[in-house]
Amino acid sequence: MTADDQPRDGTAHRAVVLLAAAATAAYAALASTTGVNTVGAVVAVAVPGAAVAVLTLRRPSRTVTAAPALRRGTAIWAVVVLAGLLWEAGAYLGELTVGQYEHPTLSVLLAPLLSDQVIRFAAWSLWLYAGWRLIRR
Amino acid sequence: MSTRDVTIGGFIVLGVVTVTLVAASWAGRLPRFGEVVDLLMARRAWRVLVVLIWWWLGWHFLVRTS
Repeated sequence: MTADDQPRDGTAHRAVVLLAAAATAAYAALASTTGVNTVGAVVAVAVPGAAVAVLTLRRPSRTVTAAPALRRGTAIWAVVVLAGLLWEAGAYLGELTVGQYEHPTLSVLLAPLLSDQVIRFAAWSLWLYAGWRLIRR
Repeated sequence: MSTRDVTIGGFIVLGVVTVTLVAASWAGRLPRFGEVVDLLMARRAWRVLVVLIWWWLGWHFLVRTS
């Protein structure tokens, strides 16, 4: 690679990022028009889900030496994420056995918010962006 | 206090803890969430778990809301 190629690579990288951002926004705009509990919404989640799974899982494992601070931080974050998942699962079980009013899940509490078209678009964009970041890690 | 209050209270506590951890990571006292994800994505087994959680979030909040 010559020195002249480097700015061209930077421009190409920016073009790829811009294209990906535009595609993500377009997909989010389309996906946010799908209603909850519809086949369209299932397909809209399944397509990027399959793409991210294929693109991330085909990579081989890397050997990473984690500093003690990172290991400690990972444990702390893991406890919070696990607590969140368990609390949501508990609420879901309560919803099934007792009732939705007594044990609302976070998704039930956020449903009125997510029914707003703009917020739904933002939520789709955020989820797709997170998937894009997983591919690039 | 009703079971509904306890359930919602749990989510609020988890939200406050998350905001506190994000603030601590911005202050440099804790690794950022992205660094943790980077570490987990290095190993294939953990990568499967991370992708599953990401996919489940999309399905749970964007497809079905119950």
